[in-house]
Amino acid sequence: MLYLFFAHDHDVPSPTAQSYFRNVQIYNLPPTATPTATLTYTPTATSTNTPTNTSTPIPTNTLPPPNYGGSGICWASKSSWSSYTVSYSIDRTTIPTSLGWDDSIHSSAQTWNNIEPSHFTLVFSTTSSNIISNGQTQNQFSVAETTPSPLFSWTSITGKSTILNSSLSWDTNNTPLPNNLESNGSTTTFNVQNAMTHEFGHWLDLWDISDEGCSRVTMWHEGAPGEIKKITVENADELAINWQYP
Amino acid sequence: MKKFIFITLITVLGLATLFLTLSSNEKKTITLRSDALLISFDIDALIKEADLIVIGEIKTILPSRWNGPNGRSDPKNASPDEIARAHGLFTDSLISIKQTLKGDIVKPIRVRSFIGETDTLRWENKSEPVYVLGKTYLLFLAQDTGATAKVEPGDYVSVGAYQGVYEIVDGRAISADDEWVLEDLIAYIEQSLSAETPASSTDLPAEAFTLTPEATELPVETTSPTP
Repeated sequence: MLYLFFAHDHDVPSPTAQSYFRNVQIYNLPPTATPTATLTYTPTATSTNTPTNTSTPIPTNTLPPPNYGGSGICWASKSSWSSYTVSYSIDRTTIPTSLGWDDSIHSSAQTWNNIEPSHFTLVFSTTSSNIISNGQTQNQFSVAETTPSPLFSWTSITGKSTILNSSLSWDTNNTPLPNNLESNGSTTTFNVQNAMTHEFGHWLDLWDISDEGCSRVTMWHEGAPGEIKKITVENADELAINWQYP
Repeated sequence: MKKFIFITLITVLGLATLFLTLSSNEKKTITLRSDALLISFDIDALIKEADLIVIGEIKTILPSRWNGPNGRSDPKNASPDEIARAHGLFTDSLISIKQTLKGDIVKPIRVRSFIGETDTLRWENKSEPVYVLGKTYLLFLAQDTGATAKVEPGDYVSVGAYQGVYEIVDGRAISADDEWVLEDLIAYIEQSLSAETPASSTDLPAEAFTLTPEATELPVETTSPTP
């Protein structure tokens, strides 16, 4: 008897992941046929539409208050916003539309909005005081930095802003190499959507992750030229937002 | 008489409570945290990117400052709001150099870390090194070219924030995610420097630090979409 095995290697000291497989189709091929497998990667769709939340609409006043200070394997969080909807704006003096970064930034927000069952939504607004800009970071070795609002609250986040390091070169190419789905092949430029998906995670007050075995998560603390793996959130990132903003 | 004593007692208790409340409020420190996505460096990239590689002891930790408007850097009269708007505090430490592995040192080294504390504000950043007075480190340093470089220029920052900081403990060099026998690390650095170009899988080419095109477009207002 021959068996076909499906396995999931959750490569951490205390594995907890479960695997689900669907749409598995098995064919009997003629003896002369050569089976081939094709892996197709579909990059996150870019769109000129501004972010929306695709989960089932629930009146805001019926949602439970957001959680804070959670942690799990490959994720951790601290504070939370008091609201489930947070706006962001783009600093047009440093990121003009001609730079072509808008779709990457909006898609980064949409990636978090798409996670279900969380009802958290990032919304683009030209008047928001939560600003994304391209400028000098405090530390020249930062790809990007996110800082909290000066309007302090003991219990919740009141604002965030992100600076993408203007001394670095940037790209908006989300197409992976055929042999490396985690890179667009650039050795000199950093990907806008890759960095912004990570930074929007900080807007949710998810922490940088540096634990062994967690380097694939969006909130992994380091980035490299050409890297695009943070564009796609991992299970731990989803657990984080779903716990923080149920 | 009893009424007088009662009123006096209540008044004294009230004043004492008010005094204690005000005192505790004065001491309350707000903690804010910034987050940074760091460029990743392996040991070869650290060696290549560093202007200076030194072993030294932290002799002095200077008071925290901020990059305020009009050259203000003393946070004494700045509110936490103002400091947060300027992206936080930073702290310089003076290092007594014991050994230089790369670069020329012409004066005492001042190393900057983008964390700090005042009477009213504590600024944290998980990526930034926390230097401890009296401890000895092997440091991969680069001249500060970041947003605060204009505040008392001439300081250095560790390459890749925490990545370029190895604490020396019992003959070992230990960073947050790397560890060497100190002698082995020194030998590796010297060997790499003697070679023309150390091989590295994550070397960051100079082109990665070129400036992006200057913004030329004026802001365009659009209406905010309904979520």
